[in-house]
Amino acid sequence: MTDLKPISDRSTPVVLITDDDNALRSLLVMALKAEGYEIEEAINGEECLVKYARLQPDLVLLDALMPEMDGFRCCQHIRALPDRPQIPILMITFLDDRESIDQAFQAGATDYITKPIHWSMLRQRVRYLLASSHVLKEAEQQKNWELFFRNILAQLSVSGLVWESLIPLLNQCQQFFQVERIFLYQFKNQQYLEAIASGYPSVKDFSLTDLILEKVYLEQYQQGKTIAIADLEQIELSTAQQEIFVRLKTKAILMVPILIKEKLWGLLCVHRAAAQPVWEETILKRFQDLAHLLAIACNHF
Amino acid sequence: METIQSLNLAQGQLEQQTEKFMDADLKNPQEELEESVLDRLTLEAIREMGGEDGDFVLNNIIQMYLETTPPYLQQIETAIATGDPDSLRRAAHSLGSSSATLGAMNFAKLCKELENLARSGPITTAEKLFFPLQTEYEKVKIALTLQLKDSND
Repeated sequence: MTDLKPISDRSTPVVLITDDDNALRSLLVMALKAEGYEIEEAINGEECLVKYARLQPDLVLLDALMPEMDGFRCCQHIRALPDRPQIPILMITFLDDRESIDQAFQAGATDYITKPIHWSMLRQRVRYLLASSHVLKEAEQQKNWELFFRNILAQLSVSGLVWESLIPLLNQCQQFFQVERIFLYQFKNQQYLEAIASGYPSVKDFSLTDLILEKVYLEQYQQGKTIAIADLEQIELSTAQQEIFVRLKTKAILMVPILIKEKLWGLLCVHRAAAQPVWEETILKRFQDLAHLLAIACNHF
Repeated sequence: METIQSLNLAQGQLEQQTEKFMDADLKNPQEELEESVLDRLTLEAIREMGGEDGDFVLNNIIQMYLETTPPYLQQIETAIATGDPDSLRRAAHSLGSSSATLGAMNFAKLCKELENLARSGPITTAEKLFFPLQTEYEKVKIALTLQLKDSND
């Protein structure tokens, strides 16, 4: 099963700048901060690798020659990581050094710029690399999603499907989307199924009607409206309801109604432990597609 | 009348010559030195990037450069004397890079020559490049110090 990371948990791209020259590094930081990026710094290849693993930046700017570990080796290490990262790596070479430029591409650099740095060229190149990387990432995720969706469809198409058959599917969804909790709630029998990431509590000890905020949103659910709350602290909830989500370690929720013959049958609920800047449109649509699929499958119960 | 006309003509020519003289891009020796060793556009780009703090930013970068360059020159001299190409390559590269950042292009190119020399093997001829390197640095130092004064104005 291919994992799908959420398209992005952060709206600001993170750029990791690696250069041993303090003066140039501070200028690079200034130039790219002004573009609105979040900046992290490293002074050599080794520090870059440590920070890369921790931060998973969106772009690495790498000086070609540095003490300890140079940019070429650092670039090779990043490209050789188990998840084969396609992250853009922009190498900085000194003057028009053909040999270093060739070496940079051999090491897996995406592009290069030369010192002295032409600042507007740097800004354009970083912008272009981030944009093209985003498009590639989306295309890859779309491909993974299609494979995943087809797989779920195949599992739901078998005959003799019962309520419990949906448990492995929910587990697959929870892993695929890398969310902390997914649960499926059926209104009529007031029954539920859940898939939880390890270390997170079950919903079993809580009132399900409170959990789905039924009093507030029932009407919207009946109209087939998806409720996406990116940060539970930003909405008005009773103290008791707040307490439920705190105990469940949940800060963002998504609730997608499942309608069968235009009647509210159930809810597909997604919980995240971290507040989201926003629920990505793509994620919303994918859960809505899953809800449609479940509606077709559950119609036969 | 003729005499007056001639005089007017002569006066007109004189004015033209004076204007030409005034328009000529007259540079004082300081400016000439600055322009021959530093690329003004590179410095301006840094100043511009700093916005309101442009002068402060440029001052900081120049000061950092003036502090880090003498140790690099020392490293280069020692590497040449001891025949250590690796050390020469690293020091020449670092010095060249930081010099290019501040637009000291002639100096950066001399560093690049040394770096290439060190990369290709024996560095016996490197000694010949060290004197021009030192001389060029003296010019860079003066030109940058003048920039520093400009920035403080």
